[in-house]
Amino acid sequence: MLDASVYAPLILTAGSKVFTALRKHHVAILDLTPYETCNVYWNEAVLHKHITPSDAIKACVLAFRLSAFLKVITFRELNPQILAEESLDKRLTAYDAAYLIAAKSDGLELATEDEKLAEAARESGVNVLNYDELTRFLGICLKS
Amino acid sequence: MYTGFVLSAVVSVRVPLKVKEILERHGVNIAEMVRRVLEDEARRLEEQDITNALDELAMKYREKISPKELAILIRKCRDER
Repeated sequence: MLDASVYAPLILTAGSKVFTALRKHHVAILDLTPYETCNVYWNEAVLHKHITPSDAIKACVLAFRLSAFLKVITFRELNPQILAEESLDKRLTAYDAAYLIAAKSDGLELATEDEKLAEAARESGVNVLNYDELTRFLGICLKS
Repeated sequence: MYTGFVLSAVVSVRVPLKVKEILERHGVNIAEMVRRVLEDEARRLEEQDITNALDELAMKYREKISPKELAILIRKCRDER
């Protein structure tokens, strides 16, 4: 299971190899992941000007189009009672809790660069990968 | 309960009568065959388009964008919403 903190950089920097790798390894995302991903591109284009607006649009569209080839776990599949309890119990945002319970209930490893989410996931017994570990696992070389 | 639905469109194809007769004689489900071929081609074109776009972005941003920086922005968004 990928959260937006790894999905966003994969789309922007990993190249076409990521496409084959994500499909080969049956990678999952949440239905909210493309939206979070688009938010970060918006920030990078408008506030930080690290990417051009046209590339932000391109990357945002890709975040949605790529999801058609991945397993997308929707909010309908998550138990709202557990989500709310985890969120309050662990002092997590609902977004964090959604990733956490989706990974936990489907027995998935969680790939995230977000320390807060990673820590909560580890505490819940979910195996966590950071971005570098994920790209090594997927066999994607990120150096040109 | 909402179960979702997929929008569909009708595609008509004109072929020589002989072709239709041969396919029918062999029990081919023409609608199913046409659907499969069109879906496969649409998927192939979509894959090609996506991989080209991913390579284009990577060429420009591979050395410029750090996952850690994006993670910080995402954390900020999650906490602010």
